[in-house]
Amino acid sequence: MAARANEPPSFEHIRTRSRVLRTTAVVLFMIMVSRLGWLQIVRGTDYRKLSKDNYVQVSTVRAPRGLILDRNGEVLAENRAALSVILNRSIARDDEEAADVLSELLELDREFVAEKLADASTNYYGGTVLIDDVDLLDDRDFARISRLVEQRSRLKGIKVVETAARRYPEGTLATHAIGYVGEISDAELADMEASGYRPGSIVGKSGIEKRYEHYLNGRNGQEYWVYDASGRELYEFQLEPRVDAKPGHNFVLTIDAPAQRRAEEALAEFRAGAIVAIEPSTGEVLVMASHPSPDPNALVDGLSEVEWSELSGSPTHPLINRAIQAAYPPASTFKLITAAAGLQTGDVRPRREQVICKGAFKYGIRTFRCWRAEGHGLVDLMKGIVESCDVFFYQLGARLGVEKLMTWTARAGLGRKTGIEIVGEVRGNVPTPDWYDRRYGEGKWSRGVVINLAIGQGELLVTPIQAACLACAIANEGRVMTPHLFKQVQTYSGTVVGSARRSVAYDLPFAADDIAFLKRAMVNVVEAPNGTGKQARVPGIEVGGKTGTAQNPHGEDHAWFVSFAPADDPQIAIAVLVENAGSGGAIAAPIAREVTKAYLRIEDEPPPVAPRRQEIEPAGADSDEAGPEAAGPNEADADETGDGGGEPEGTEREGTDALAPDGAGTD
Amino acid sequence: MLDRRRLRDFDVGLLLAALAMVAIGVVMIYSATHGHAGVDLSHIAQRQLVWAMVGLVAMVIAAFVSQDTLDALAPVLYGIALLLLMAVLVVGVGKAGERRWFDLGPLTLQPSELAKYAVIIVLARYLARRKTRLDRPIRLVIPLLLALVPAALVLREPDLGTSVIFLIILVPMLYWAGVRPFFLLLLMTPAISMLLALPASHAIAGNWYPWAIFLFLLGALLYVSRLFIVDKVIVFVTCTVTGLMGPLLWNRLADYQRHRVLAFLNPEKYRFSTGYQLIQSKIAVGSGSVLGKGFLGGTQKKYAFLPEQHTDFVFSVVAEEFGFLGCLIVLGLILFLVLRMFRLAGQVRNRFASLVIVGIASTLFVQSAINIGVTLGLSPVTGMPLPFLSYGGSSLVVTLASIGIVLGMGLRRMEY
Repeated sequence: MAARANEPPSFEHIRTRSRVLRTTAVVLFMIMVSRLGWLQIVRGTDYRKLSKDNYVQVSTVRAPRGLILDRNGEVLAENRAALSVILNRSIARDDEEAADVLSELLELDREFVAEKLADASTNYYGGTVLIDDVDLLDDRDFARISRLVEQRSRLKGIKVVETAARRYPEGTLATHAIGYVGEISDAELADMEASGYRPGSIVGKSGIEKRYEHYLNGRNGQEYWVYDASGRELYEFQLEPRVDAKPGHNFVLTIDAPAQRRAEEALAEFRAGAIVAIEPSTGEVLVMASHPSPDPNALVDGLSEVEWSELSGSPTHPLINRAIQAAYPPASTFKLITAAAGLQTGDVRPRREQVICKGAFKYGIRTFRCWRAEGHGLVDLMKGIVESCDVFFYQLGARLGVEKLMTWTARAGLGRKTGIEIVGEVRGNVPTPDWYDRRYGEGKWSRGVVINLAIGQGELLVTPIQAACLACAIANEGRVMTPHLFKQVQTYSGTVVGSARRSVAYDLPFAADDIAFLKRAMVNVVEAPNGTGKQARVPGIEVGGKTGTAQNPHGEDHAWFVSFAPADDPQIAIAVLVENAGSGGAIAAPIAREVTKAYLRIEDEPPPVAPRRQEIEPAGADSDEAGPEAAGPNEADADETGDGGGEPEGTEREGTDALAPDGAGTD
Repeated sequence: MLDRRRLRDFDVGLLLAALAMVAIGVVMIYSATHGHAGVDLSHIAQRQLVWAMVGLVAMVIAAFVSQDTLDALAPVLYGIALLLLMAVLVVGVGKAGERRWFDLGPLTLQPSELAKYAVIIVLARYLARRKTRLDRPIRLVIPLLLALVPAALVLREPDLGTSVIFLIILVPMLYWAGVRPFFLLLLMTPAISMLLALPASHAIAGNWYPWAIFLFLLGALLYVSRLFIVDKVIVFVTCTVTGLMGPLLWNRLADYQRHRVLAFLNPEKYRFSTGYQLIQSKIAVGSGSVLGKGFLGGTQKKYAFLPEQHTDFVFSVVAEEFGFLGCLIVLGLILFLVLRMFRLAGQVRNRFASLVIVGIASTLFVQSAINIGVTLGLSPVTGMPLPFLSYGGSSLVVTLASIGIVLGMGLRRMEY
């Protein structure tokens, strides 16, 4: 530091700074020296002994996956004990020989085994195979594994370990919401390898299992074992502490198992359908049922190729979650939005505009029929909704026009995802004039489509969860909470880690008075003597609802019912959709009633009407809808309801339908 | 240019220590690649020897470059380094989709090695300028950007370890240039803010407390500090913005990208892919005991237990074959080099030269500490070469050239 006097002025503190930097260097090097002393001098002899002839291997201990519970604590997904056959590939070095022996002892396809081994060896590192545990088989057959254990001297490096496998104790209950797990695919592995996933890891494939994989999965543990040169396991390596597997977090869902069960039982009588129930004030999904459903336990075990192609190729598409992945014409349930749009624009006012329904409506040269051939007589807005008069809404739609009606529809939340957290949700469709222009070419479609759209037919498509959100909106004074399945996450020991946060999905863009009017109308649909939704009545409480019967060109009508209950303090809003089953009032409304009762824990009173379908139908027959005798006068409808603009779904129907009574295909 | 009288200023000790390290490196690489079952790796040590020769030539050339020339060349070097870093992202090669090296037929070139020194030189030039003022936190933005841009490019390769080095070197250089330690702390706050805000973005167990507490403490600290009000506001706003950006960026990442970030931030949780390497390294080091197993006597490499023993884990060969004493010699040499350079930095009269030497010494020090820390299981695995010892042409040549620069500056220590 002799030259200090000559240094530039800004270097004033150079002596201190030099000392600080040098001290830092010395301190850090001392840390390394102490660490070396610890490893080489204190532990040196132990390590020396170990390195002579033996070597240490790391084996992974699979962490049990977190449980999935319903809102009451009922277990929907758990773990069962299972066995895994592990091949240590650094000991059994010859893949070919390993494949021969393993396929023979385990009676597995040799190619399957070879492929598994090849998959595992993709993990090359600098040209050397890293030691890996390879899962070969999860206790498919205990006898085969016993034989393997007996004869394991034939192949070094084989180990049978206890592990945990996924089990869904309730079978298919809420399968589409919960999802299922399976072995990691190559594509998934590429994304998840950095987080410690390995070939053979089990990951969530759909639903909650996939969405919250990161939490459910837990943390795998590690054990260190000392092997001798011939590949025999000697003892656990003491110098390196074992890492215990940490079970994944438990998930409490918003699902209510009793209501979910009742919903699925009801759907089981039909070919296909979906039910979504939501708590309006929170957005908690109480029921998400989609029928038919695959057996998740079979999926966990792994399907053969034939079984898989049967499942995925089935005409009823069991793998599709109809609650969020299928969209249908909303039919008369949509009259609620047509009414709201009319109220908003002033095109209709309660008790002011009245229309005489004589069973048909002329628009241009075409005639559109009301579902009730003899007509409804003098109809105002309330009666139009309660008795679901098509003619009333035809004329309202004509007054509104496509542009206005569809704009308000989009603003009311249709045509976009509700934001439920599981993947695969579809948007449905709100056919604006732009959409028609794109679809059919500008000017190549008739403005008359609005007549059908006004009663929820045509290209308008809505998912069951959207319909449930619509019911929520009306029940909850216009505010829709984002629907979600996740309620709470806990550690395996029960400490709450996090809870769902409520968030507002959207607010209906309608005046509070108008929403209150719709709510009253929905109550009348169920409670009034001539309402179309009488089948949804629940003794002791007031229920609000709206029926819908969607025409379907390929078969029988789809039955819709949206509802909420109790009307004064709605705790559950429901959308029921049953494919090809008949009318909403006769088919879907009773299901909504059952789900409501199950959720509110309302027991059947001993003597009165038992909720069987056979008994329902005569009751339905003397109401305004849903009777076989009402099926007559609909042969001529196909042409009249077609709007001339291409072939929108749901406007044509077969005249042979026995159940649906209506002309335009709504109640 | 070179004054005969100045030859007594030549730092023979520095030269000898560097040469000793190179020699140890070639020998250890020979041992690490010796005796592999079935694979002949003898060419690796030979190659390293050739690179050592090239490096020595580079060292001599670098020693003759005057500091004024280097100073003048700084922007050009920096520009070239940035261009190479961008080019390597397009045409580079590497393991598993990385783009780290240029493949030039028989040899490969790793531009990030070069870029490290370009950043040191350009930072030194900026910090040495008379009109550069470092008396306010916002005036640190330019040096920060000078390091941040190449760091971001290297991060894209992706090579997180090397990219972090760029930012670490900045700290001792700014400190040497006279920046107050408090400012250095403030320099790190935006990054801390972003990290602490990440837990808040958690979809389920979102937790805003760490970030809120951090912001509160920062606010209090700034309030009592005697900075200009503008600087206080800028620091606070920057931290708030980076904090808020954290969750936003986070939510835009794809799932697998998040997995990677988590794996980096929490190596303990995600260490399965590296745990094996680490434990073999520890056994190799520990089994070396006090005196080691002797040259070529290491056993851990026999089964190819340590896949990267001639590159990132070369120190474990030293430890296994020459024991605690051998390690002390290597550590001692590194420490000697670093301390010698820090001392020289305090002696040279030219401010630019002084800063360059500090930068070079810090790089050598930080890289060695991280690499050896990994081998000893003290820090997460980052894939950082050990200067002088690890196999790799680019690294060895630029390290030797940097020593040449320091030697040259030592010769001219009396020049302004």
